[in-house]
Amino acid sequence: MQKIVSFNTVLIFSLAILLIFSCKKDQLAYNQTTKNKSESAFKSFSWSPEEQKFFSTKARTGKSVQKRGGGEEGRFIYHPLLVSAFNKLVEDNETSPYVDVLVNKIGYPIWSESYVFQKTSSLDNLVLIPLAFDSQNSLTAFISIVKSENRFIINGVSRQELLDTLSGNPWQKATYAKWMLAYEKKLFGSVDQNLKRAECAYEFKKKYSVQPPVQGAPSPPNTNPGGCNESIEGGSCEWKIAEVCWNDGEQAHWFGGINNIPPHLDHDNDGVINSEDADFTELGITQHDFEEDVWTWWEDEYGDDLGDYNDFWDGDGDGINIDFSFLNGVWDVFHDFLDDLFDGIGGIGDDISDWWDDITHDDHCWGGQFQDTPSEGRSETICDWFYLLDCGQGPGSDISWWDDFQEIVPCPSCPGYQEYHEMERDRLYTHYQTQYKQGSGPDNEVDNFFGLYNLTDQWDCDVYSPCYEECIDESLIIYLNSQLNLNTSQKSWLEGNKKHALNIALFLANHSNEIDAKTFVSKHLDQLISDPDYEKMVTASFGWPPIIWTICKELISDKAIDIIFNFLPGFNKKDEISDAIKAINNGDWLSFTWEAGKIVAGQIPWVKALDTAIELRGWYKTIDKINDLVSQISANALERAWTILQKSPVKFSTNALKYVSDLVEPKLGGYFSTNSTYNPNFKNRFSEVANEITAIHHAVPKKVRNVYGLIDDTQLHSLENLRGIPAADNFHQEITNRWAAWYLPYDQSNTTPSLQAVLNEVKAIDDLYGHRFVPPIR
Amino acid sequence: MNYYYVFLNTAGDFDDETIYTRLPNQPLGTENVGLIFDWWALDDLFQSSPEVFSTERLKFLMESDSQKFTGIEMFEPVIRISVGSNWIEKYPTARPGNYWKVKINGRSQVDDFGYYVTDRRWLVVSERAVKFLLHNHVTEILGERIDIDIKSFFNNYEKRNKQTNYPNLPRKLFNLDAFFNN
Repeated sequence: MQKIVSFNTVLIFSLAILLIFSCKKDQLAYNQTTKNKSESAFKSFSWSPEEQKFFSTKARTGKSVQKRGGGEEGRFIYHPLLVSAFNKLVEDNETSPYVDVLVNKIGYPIWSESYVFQKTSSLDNLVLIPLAFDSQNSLTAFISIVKSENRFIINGVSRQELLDTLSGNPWQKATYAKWMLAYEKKLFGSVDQNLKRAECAYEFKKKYSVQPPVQGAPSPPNTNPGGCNESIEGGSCEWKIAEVCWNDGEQAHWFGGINNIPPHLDHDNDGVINSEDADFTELGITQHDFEEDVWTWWEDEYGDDLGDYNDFWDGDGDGINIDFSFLNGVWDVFHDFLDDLFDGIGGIGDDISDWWDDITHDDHCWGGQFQDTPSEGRSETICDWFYLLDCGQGPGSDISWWDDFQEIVPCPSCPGYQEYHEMERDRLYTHYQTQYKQGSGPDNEVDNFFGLYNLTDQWDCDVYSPCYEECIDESLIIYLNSQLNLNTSQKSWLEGNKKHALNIALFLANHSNEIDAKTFVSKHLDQLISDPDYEKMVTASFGWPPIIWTICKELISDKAIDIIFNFLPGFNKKDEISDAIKAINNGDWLSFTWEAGKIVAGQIPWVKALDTAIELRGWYKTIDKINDLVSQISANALERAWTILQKSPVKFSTNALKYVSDLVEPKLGGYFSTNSTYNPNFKNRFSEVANEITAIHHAVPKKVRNVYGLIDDTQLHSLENLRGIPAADNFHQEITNRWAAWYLPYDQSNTTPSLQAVLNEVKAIDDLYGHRFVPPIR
Repeated sequence: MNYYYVFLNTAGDFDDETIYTRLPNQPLGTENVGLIFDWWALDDLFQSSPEVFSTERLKFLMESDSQKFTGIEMFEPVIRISVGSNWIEKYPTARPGNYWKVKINGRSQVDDFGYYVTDRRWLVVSERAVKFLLHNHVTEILGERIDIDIKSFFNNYEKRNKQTNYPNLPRKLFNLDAFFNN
């Protein structure tokens, strides 16, 4: 008896240890009768109702969650790390209450579905807590907690942040997006296409931020006698790509490589449709009975989630079972998930895969039958990739569909493009780069491309068509016409100026609900067409270096404040306005001026954003002149000059920016003035500060020409050799005295200094007094 | 008798007709001097290197029998006076006046005006002459009293210049601003 008791004790203890330390998922067991010890380790305080709900560890969020989470009456064994994380959040809330605010924004944690990872051999760990509102079948956010020695690192990411593909770290956000998709699939049985699309966007950004996009994604030959000029809406033929294999030992060609053969055709799942699939006949079951059974099985098991059998396996109704983008999307998640988790949160090991199997079991239990690459008969087959032109005949009732395709064209570059969206992405990107690419900055490039990519989602352009690019171009104009009701000249102009067309389309897509936004765009478009200077500037703005945007924002900020002061003389939020305008994204003049206009209008209720935006837009010539400077000097030189002149009234003067950028080192220029005109000429050149200048100093003094003959009169009075002495700080005498001292040894020995020695002294003086000259040169 | 190292403020540039004398083993010199002024000279005694100039008023005062300053060989008239662009802009109706080149040939610490020569010339002025200058519109001159042997004084001065890689100028001998600030 003693021995039995002892054995039971050991057994129970061992099971407990096993449960606590070997599993990866916090929901380790579901036990209706035994109270879990870990629950008592959760800290508890006197909480408000919201806090009680927030820190309730019972499963309760959403019907779907309850259904799958074991029921609200259930008790769970919680991982110690989750308990620690829970207690940390509790303590933080005690110190500085946040729950009451948080629940309004992101709902409540689903503690019972939290993911816990802890690798016993290292300090790597993670607690990922999903959050949701009770009433919604979607997650709102994650809280992630990593325990580092005695410290907790807590981060959060909201659904809204994940859907905003234009900002943030794509590596991190891709991982979170995948988690959210996987969680929602598990908890609610749904896949949010917007989130899926965002995840694809992050994947794209990840891929192309380290490696240029693939050029020349394959397109089929254009066999249409009318080319692509015919209406994109006409015609019923569609191109497909597929890997087609021949198995000469059997009776059929077959699709392979991707899991696209319906179960009723490839019963043994060997990737080959052949006589072996009819094994059921040995049991006296007819093909008809077998197919009935398959359909019934499907209806029972997957009908709710995946819909009708025929629709699923033949999504587009053409009788060709190729388009499994949904299925492939799921597999993408599976394959990339672990690697990306590593990238995103670092250092967490392979053990996650077990938990992943738990979470995704429902998804791939059926797929498991088909997922393995067929090996049987593989050695007997030859496979190649083809473009297939399907004009709707379909394969009919048998499997001799091969001859039904109107065109069959080898496509050696097709491998790697099994998935429609991959082909779409790369082919669109190629087209984008040649026709629509606006800026040179990587951010703009990705954002603008994804703007186009998102727009194409609304268009019916077939990426397997030879006319895909033409379809994109035409659809963009159709979209713009639907938004702006284009006249003939506008339409024609946009067709010939695709970068502007995309720019305007993206603006409309992003501001479609804003009052007057369309009017603003129409005026912008009209000015583009009628004002070559404006068109030149806006075109150039697509590729402005950051320094031009910096200067542009400073200028527009100053002018915006001027507008506000005109209406509100006592206005005292100058810095706020300036900061808000400087925070607008670079890269898009149209959006920038619109946003700036809104900021101004936000301060003056009776002024319309449209009017202020148009007024601010009027400063384009000043900015364009400054941008032209970049071709004369360089962006770096301009940036240096801007830094020096930033506090000067001449900061927007191209003359001053050029002058300052020229004087990094002392320089002698061409004709600018004479002995009797250098003063007025210099002041005229910098008229904004003329009144601040008391005298003009020759950097290389007159004596260097008169006595030493090292320079000529033109060089002496060249602009580059002149410096403005401020009236309020006259140090001219100091400098000339310094030169007098410098001449002493040369005069005593009656020798002539080298010009370089002179220029060295000029540089020493420029470095010492440069910040005091007007304009400053240091 | 105390002596001072004096650094005169600069004013004026030589015009195109000025002739520069370049004799062997002789410092740079000038003949047929014309000056172009861009601003009013701060003092009645000033330099446009390598020469020293005075206003007409100061010239006649220095030449008076009562002063009897030694070390000044002669005064030569500045033949042409003109103005530069800065002057035209600021004083369009003004003319600078008449100026004289002061030829100094005295020995340092012997005459009232003399040069101490190293690799350059240092103007050394007696305390008597400095007082006269300060009383006669030469108030902005820079300088320093030589209170050690003159060789050590200028050795130290040059050493300081070389160490800082900057041709330090001496302070003002008489600080009017300090008078008012105190």
